[in-house]
Amino acid sequence: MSPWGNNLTLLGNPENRRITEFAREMSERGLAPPRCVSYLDFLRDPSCLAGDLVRIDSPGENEEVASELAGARLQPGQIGRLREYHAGFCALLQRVEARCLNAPRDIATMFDKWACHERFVQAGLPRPRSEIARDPFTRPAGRVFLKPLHGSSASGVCALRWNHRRVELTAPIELAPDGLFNSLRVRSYTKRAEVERILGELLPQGMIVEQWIPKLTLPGGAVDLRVLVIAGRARHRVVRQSRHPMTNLHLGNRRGDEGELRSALGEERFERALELAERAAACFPDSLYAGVDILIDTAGRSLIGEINAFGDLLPGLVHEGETPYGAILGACLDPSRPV
Amino acid sequence: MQAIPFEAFGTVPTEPDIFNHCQRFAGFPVEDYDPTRSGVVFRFSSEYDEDHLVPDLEAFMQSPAAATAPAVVIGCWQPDDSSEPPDKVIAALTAGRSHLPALTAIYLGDVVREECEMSWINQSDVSPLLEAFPQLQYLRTRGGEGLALGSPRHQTLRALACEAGGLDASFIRSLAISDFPNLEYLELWLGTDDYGGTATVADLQPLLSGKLFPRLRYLGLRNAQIADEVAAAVVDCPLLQRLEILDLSLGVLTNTGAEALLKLQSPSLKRLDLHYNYISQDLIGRLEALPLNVDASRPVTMDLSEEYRFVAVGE
Repeated sequence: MSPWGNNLTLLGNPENRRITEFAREMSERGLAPPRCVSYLDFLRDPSCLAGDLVRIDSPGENEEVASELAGARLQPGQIGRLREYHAGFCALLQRVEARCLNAPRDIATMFDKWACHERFVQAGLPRPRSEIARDPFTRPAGRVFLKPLHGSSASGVCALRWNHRRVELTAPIELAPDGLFNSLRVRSYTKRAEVERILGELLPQGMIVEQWIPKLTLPGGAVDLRVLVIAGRARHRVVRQSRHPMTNLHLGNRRGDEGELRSALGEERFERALELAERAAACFPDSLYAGVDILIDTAGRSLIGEINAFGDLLPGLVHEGETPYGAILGACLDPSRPV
Repeated sequence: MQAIPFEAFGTVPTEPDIFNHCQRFAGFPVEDYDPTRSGVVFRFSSEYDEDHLVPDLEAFMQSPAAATAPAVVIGCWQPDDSSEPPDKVIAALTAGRSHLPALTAIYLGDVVREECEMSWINQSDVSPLLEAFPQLQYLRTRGGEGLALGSPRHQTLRALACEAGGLDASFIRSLAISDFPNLEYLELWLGTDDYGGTATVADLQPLLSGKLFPRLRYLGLRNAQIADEVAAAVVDCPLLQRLEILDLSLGVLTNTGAEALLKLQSPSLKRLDLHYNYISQDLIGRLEALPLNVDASRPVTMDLSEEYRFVAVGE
């Protein structure tokens, strides 16, 4: 597999469509089938990766891997032990000695929202005002986003608004007697006791508190932009549109119309949003690709929402004739690209 | 003083319009405040990162453009903080009244969900605006919390519109003792009891009795959880005999309310607005057969499943 070597190994959960789809994309390009190393095998014997070129994919959606990383078994969908899980994943990443499309230490940082925030701010890139979250109710009123430092896919993300009379927490969270669970439905909690229970569970696991940026709204809802940056270039993107504060597409939201966004924003501002995604990805120079979420405020200005190490699962998107996985492979195979 | 066309009082006609700043107000195009522009109505607003509404407004009132300004749109005054009423804005406008001799229309709260959900907007007693601008024709507000008309009287006011996730019964009752002899257009968003919408049909009776507002042409009882009960109360109220437009849009209007509306009989009524409803196709067909202009449209994104029956704005 010139110029990166002759073969590619995928580190992931083999049953996951991320792995099966990437392998399919390789066979469609006439490439030799990749070796797939499962996280469970790697956890047993890290040396099985040595010497290869590796694409590290998500360890998610596998209960057994999750309990290995978090050091305890959680119930399916439970939001818990996020610090332990992150520590376990970082320790695993440190044991990866092979060359990788995305450097393990970049991936570790991308799963730390505070470290990412500091990196972006130091690079002079626009980000919502943020802090490490403590008890928000020490302020008399406010409107903020609270995000787990080490979460993904909107898991545990809370939109919180309160004043001296009322509180409302909106989140894809189900509050059950035995803990918090991811919910595909975004729910609204208005009882103080419930809100305090949710935050009482989440805050000790580490959260970042972000200024709530009012998002640009098009017919059908507020929008943001997911941009897949590959080899420094903004490639595939998807407008995510929502009637509630979370735009993640698995939460009942829909893909918005890029043409509508471009005309609302103007070409220049749209280009600036894509440039910002490229500059965000450039803060991780040892990574070939990353998914960057760009927030666009009501005045049309772009800010970095977050960067996602595994933000390339964008089924059905095509850019310049390539799927996201095809474009990543294309960048691997590009002879002009330095290894 | 130019009369605002009656048609220009409907600023938020459909559900999707709720989520965007108004493009037109009182018949004029609206633009964000820009001291270099003229010939448009300005929208004054703070942003999440900059609280410049009142300074902008004061600068505008000192400029020559203020002398001919027919309308003012006030946007978000509480960027991050959900506890601040618009008292500073009201004070700035009333203090600057002499600089706004042509002002006929005020929108206090062109604030969209992304800036502040409607039920989180803190309003205030807006009657100082009525007192300060005796030539006012059109007052529109958004947000029910704290909204009051301490002194509900005005000789020239033609349109009053109060958008909310819930209007308190005391606000509705204050209209019963009001004096708006020229009111042609009254739009009230009753909302849900989850968000302070405490008014019942009994609280609406003084309005529906026909004893108030001798010139009323449009009555909007919108965004109402109790839309079915409202429909039942409206069909045989005395006021209906002289209304031209009845607007029950944006609420939870189901077949029950639709059945009641089939009995509508009014010599004056021309239009029935039921946009955003939960009525079956069959009944919509029968309503559309009434000798009226009936709008029973629905936004494409509306969720019609029974468990999610909800007003357009309750948040």
